[in-house]
Amino acid sequence: MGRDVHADRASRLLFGAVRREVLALLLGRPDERFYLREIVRAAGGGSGAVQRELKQLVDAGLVEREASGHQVYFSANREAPIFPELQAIVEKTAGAVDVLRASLAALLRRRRVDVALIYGSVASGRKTARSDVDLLIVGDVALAELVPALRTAEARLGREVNPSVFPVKEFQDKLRGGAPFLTRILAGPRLFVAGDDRELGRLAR
Amino acid sequence: MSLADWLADRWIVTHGPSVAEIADLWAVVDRDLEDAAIPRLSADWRLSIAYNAALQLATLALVAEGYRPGRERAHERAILSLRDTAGIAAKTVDLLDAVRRKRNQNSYEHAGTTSAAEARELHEIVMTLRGDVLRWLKKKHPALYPPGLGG
Repeated sequence: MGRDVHADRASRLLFGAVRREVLALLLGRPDERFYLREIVRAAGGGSGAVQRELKQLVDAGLVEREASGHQVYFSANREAPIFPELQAIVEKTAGAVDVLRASLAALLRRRRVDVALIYGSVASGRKTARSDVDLLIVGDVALAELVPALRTAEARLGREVNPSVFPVKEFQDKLRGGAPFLTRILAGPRLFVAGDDRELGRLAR
Repeated sequence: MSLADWLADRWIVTHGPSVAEIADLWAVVDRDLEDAAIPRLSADWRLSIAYNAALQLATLALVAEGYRPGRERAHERAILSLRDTAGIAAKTVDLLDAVRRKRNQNSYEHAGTTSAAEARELHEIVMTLRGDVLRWLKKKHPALYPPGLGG
């Protein structure tokens, strides 16, 4: 799990605690706009600290500020030149990957999961406000223990998580049989929540 | 929220139950549970059939209480009502709701997203749910208990 710890440290190093949470919210849900109080609640910091971060992010063109009546809204600026790259970094270190890793921590500690990865629109950076997080788990996990863990993640992400759980042997048998769903995942973009390409390659052999 | 709140919000509507209707719904449940165990069917389809059995159990419990789902989000509300009708544990209801979404995905968007392990697990869960709803029905609404089920 050294790789997981590194991802978490990387985002803290790059962004700092409050900025990391602000970016995770705004870039994690880029089609939505939020008012300050919502961002403060999600970031878990003081109002002053969040306002300072927002001002810097707006000045840098990464976040848009929009006044409507008495209310001020903030949203990710999709037109920012580095938006796709920044979103990918945040997704890997503080977004869906990070949130899911925390939610699945107990299962990961018990080594019940060989590989867990996000595929689909979230992994490819084409997500919209309505996109679910598509999650493939290869391992010895029952839906009955997975669903409660995912509910926490769904609440934090503001998105539904759609899991598919394959025991190792079934995953290997399906791949050998050329199952289109799994073959497509292996060929497409993915974000690892547990395991990595090497582990996935080992399972797929 | 109670069923009275649901009624006020039109999530459910009043509906007079009958023994024949409950018996018909119960027959659907048993047909689906039997079909969901047919190994030659795809896992996607077995999961969908087992889910449908759970949905009919939820509808049946709601009907026994004198309601049926309203028009909007009928599946979701029927499944969630299991907590307030037959007193089914929240963790089971949450799981069935997660399967409802998964079933939407495998029915309309992607084939092959369900593993045989998931289909088997859901089948076992819905078999247990069937027993729970049956015991509840017998205790709470004995007059609606389908005569053919024995017990």
